[in-house]
Parts: sequence; C-alpha cells; structure tokens
Amino acid sequence: MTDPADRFEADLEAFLAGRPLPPGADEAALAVAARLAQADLAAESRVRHSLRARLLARQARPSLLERLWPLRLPAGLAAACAAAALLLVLMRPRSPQAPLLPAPPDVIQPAAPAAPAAKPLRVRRSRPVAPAPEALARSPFVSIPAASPFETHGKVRAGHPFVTVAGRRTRTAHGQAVVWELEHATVRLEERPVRIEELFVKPVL
Amino acid sequence: MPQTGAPQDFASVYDRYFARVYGFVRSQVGDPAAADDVVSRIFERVLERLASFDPARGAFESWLFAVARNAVRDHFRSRRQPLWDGAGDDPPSREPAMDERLVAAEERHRLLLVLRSLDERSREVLGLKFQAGLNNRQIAEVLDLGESHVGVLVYRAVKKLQAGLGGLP
Repeated sequence: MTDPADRFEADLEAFLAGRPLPPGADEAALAVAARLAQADLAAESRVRHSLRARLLARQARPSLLERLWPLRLPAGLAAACAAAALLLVLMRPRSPQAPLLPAPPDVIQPAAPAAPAAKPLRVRRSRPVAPAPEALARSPFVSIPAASPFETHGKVRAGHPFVTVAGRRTRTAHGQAVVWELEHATVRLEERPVRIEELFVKPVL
Repeated sequence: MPQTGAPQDFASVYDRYFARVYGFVRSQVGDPAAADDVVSRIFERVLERLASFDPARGAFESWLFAVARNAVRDHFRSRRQPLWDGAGDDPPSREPAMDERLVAAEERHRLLLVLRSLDERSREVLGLKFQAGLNNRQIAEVLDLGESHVGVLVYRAVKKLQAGLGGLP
C-alpha cells in the first residue's frame, strides 16, 4: 500500500480502534482526525429534546384524512353530494353587468374621406366599460373630437353590451384606422396628431 | 436497527442519529442556532419520508446523510450566501479552561474555527467522516464520488485541518 491516502485510511482505523500503529504512521494527522471525531458538536444543540417531543407528537397525531375517515359517507350519498356541488358551481350567477357610459359629448366633425376597405378583422366580443360617474366628473381627460361621427343605427339600451358584428382596418390621411360595426353603432378608432390641449381639461378659476 | 434496513420507528432513528446528524450539520454551518434550524428540517423530512425509504436503493445512513447534506445546501441557498464564510463568529477564547466543560467547548470552538477556513468539499468530507461517522464507501454514495477519490479527499482535508490547528495558539 503505497498511496498515502490508502495508508492513512488503514492507519486511521487502527488508531481509532486503539491498535498499535505501524512504523512511519502520520501520528500527528491521525491525532487531528481523532480530535475531530471525538468533538461532541451536538452538545451545542438547544432543540434536541424539544424537537424530539414535537416530531413524535406529530407522528402520533392522525392526519386530516385519517381523522375524517370515520365520518365517511356511503358511496351513493357521496356521489350525490358531489353532483350537487357541481350543479351549484354551474348554476352560479354571473357578475352583474355595469351600465353603459352616458352619451358622449358632441364630437362630430366632418367625416374623413372613405378609405379603401382592408381585410376584415376578427374582433372578439367585449363587455362594456363603465367607470363610476364621480370618477368621470373628476377625470382630467376630455374626449378627443373624432374625425368621423359616432354613427348610431338605433336605440342602445342601457346595460346592454356592445356586440361586434364586423370590424375592418382602413387607412386615413394621417395613418391607420380601425372600424367596428356594432349592432347599433359604428365606431372608428384612428391615428392622427393631437395637441396637448385636446387631451387635458384646463381648469379655469 | 440494521444500517441497511428500513427503520420504521422514528423515535429510535432520532435517538440513534441525532448527535451524528447535528455534528455533521454543525461542522458545515457557522451558527449553532442555524444548525438547530437545519437539523429540525432534516428530521421533519425524515419523519415524512421514513415510510417511503426503500432499502433496495441504498443504505439507510447514506440516505439519511444525503437528506442532511441537501438540507445544508438548501439553507445556504435560501440565504444566498456562500457556504459558511464565518462572518459574525467570535474568535476562539484565549481564557484558560476552568473545567472539563469549558475545555470541551474551547476544543469545539477551535475545531469549528479551522473548519470554517477550509474549502466546502474538505469541510463536507470531514463532517461526513468524523462527525457523521460514515465510511468512505458511504461518503462516496452521499457525494456521488468514487470511493478511492473520497479516501484522497479525506486525507487532504485532514492535512488541511492539521495545518490550520497548528496555526492556532
């Protein structure tokens, strides 16, 4: 055995067992190893007994499933309860719909020349957005006059959601625009330059 | 309890292995309170997983100290700090020991002080060899190394520990 590591391992076993060491053993290194092996680091623990008591108590305590097991229902009754719970979930009423916004101010301006129709957009149905009236009153924003009128084709009932019938992308003199055909109105969203005064209300004392 | 069997009695596992687990953890963690915390988590995991221990997959002690080693690494990972930089530790006492308890405490402190100056691998090997009481084959299983490689690591780590202790008063 010529490897120092192998020799040390063999000498260590003999040293820790109290057997005589062969000549040439690294007694200083063996003594250091013995010091570490004999050091009782666990004497510093402050939780040894409390941890044991806590874990054994947890082991003795039945789990939630084990505690509920004696209360188990007959199979038919359990299935009926599960079906009833599922039915209640499916019949849960939807959240109430908020009323529509009040009619916008007069923002009608001369209509822009009709742009060539582009490929239709696939627009999903959306719910109406209705901020609280007091929030509207405090808002620093004002409506921007649109280049084309908000065309209505009938009376929009309050609280009724907008339903998109069709949508398409077009171009205007200033950029792109998107037109939504709703059930009772046509709405256009378009790009165009605006001035800062058009965006904010200037409070006047 | 057989070392390679599947122990079912948590109390006997705790009583048999607490000192060895704590000794290993304390040799890796620079703070006794943190060592208590890590050891608590180790035995909580052992309690949860003892029933699922499969002796066909390895010796119980190798499994136990693999759990301990992972808990130590989790501890340092969660604290986002290198493995035991020794910050906040007191220097070893220079006061003469008055009784056996103080001598033992002073000896522990000196050993821990030098351990903290070693590299992570050396500290891990020394903790598993001399505090956990594992043989080289078991250490090789825990660290996923070759047994002969472990022998070399132990020898080198002891020489580093010897050099460190030689520098202390």
